Amino acid sequence: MNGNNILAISSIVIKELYRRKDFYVLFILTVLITVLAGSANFFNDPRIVGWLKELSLTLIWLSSLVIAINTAARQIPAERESRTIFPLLAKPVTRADVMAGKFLGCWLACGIALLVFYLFFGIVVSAKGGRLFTGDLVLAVWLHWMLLGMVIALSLWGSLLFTSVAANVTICFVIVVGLLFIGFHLGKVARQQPEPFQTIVMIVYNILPQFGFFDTRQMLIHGSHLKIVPVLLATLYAWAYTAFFLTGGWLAFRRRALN
Amino acid sequence: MVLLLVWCFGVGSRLWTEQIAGERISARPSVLKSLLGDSRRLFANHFFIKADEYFHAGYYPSIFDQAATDKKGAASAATTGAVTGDSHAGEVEWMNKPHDWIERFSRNFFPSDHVHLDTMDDDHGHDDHEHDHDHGHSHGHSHGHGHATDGHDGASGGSMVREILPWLRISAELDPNRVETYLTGSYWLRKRMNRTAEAKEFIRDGLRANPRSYELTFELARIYHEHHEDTGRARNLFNLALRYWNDSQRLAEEPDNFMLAQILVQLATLERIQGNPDRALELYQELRKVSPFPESIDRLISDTREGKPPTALR
Repeated sequence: MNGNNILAISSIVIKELYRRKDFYVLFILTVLITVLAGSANFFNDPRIVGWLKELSLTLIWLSSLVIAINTAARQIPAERESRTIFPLLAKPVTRADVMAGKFLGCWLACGIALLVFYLFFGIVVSAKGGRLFTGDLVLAVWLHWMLLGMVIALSLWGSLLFTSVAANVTICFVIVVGLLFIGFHLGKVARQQPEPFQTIVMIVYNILPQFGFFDTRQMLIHGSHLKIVPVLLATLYAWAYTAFFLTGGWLAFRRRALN
Repeated sequence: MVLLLVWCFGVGSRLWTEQIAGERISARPSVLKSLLGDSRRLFANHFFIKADEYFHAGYYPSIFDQAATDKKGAASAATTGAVTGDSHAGEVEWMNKPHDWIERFSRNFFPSDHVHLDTMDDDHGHDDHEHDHDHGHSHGHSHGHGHATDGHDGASGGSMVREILPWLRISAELDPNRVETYLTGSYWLRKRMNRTAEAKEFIRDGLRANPRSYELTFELARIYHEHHEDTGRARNLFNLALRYWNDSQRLAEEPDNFMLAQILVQLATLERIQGNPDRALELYQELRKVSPFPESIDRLISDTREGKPPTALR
């Protein structure tokens, strides 16, 4: 793989994100809903902020997943449809470079979007007089970004397996949301099953990526503190799955006919 | 004959639809009711549970854990606190020893310390749970047969409790007939936050939706008694609560004797304060029939006969 090629491809992806309207629409919607909700009066107490944090974080998570999955899912199909993939690969650029460049571009673009969203979140919480520890916020944003790395890699792989972008987006969204909601609880479900289902579900539970490790919304809302060591371990966990999904995508891309 | 049948059917249909339309106009459904229908009650329940989750600062069982805690007889801490004054009373510890590495590691990423918002404040974090637990129980148990007493006096600490209020308000908007929501909100507003005016207004909202609720009338009476010290109005409201209780519960299969006991003891105390020992004795006799501690009621009866002043019940 060539680092310069990867950086060149990724810079194009970043430019594409800020030229498209997705991010702006989702950000403005998040701002509007949060500001409107923030103006609500509950028992004449202006310092109530927990529910606003919850609403704002939910919107940020939803927006970031939509941006990540949508951006990643259409990268390679768009190149194929517009046939720009041929001149791209005619240059000294390997398929691995394309895959890595697309991933890096989407990941960095999502990171920039996350910074804007969380900056707004910080401003809203501070304006309402709520508690928000900077260290915890930084770690939470970092974990969120790590999760988006896995999601983008999964979505890129999916774009090479499914025939349409819409199918890939829908399936990725269902997988990600499903894992966020039930990932941690599969073990509890498995322990109540008879054999051999118990073993099968336990294997699935241990193999599936636990996206819940990266969802620290409740910690931010309730002012609990994140510890650095678990965050570092979760980062390694995320990188391992990201590498696995990217390898899977690269293998699929290598065998795939371009026309 | 056929024409006559068609005419009858037409007139019948018209009258029926007019009746339905008339009912709809008289009921004046809110926008939420029109949009969500009866499903709003499900959402109301969800937001009520959300308030309890906030009360525990996010330390709350998921639906997968709730099945296990329900079997152990767990109850909402925010509600239990509002009814008995001890928010730890109905609690069951749901987070056990982790079964695997995922469970163990996941506890670093969501609140996994058992705390209550009433032991936290804006700047100083939270106190030790065990300390609060002991305090709440010892205080609650010293008041005999489960009358509403608060584990903490006055509005000390617990400024973070305000975070549960939006969920209670939203829950009440979605299901105005859920009396429990108003009682819980009122308790935390007046007892822990010293916001009597807001508590009274919330209870009045509840009474507008549930005009003959003995629980809400009782709560309003307590506000007048304990916060405004308006014993005359409080006594009238306690009497009204007793009347509403009789109307709805007297012939019920499982009458709400817990609330009856609370109404009777408060009313009897006020009657003693206002110099009506005979009426107080009548009420104590009624109370004796439903109280799980008749010997303590006998003591109250003998105190009344001896003309001793009543001890304040708050």
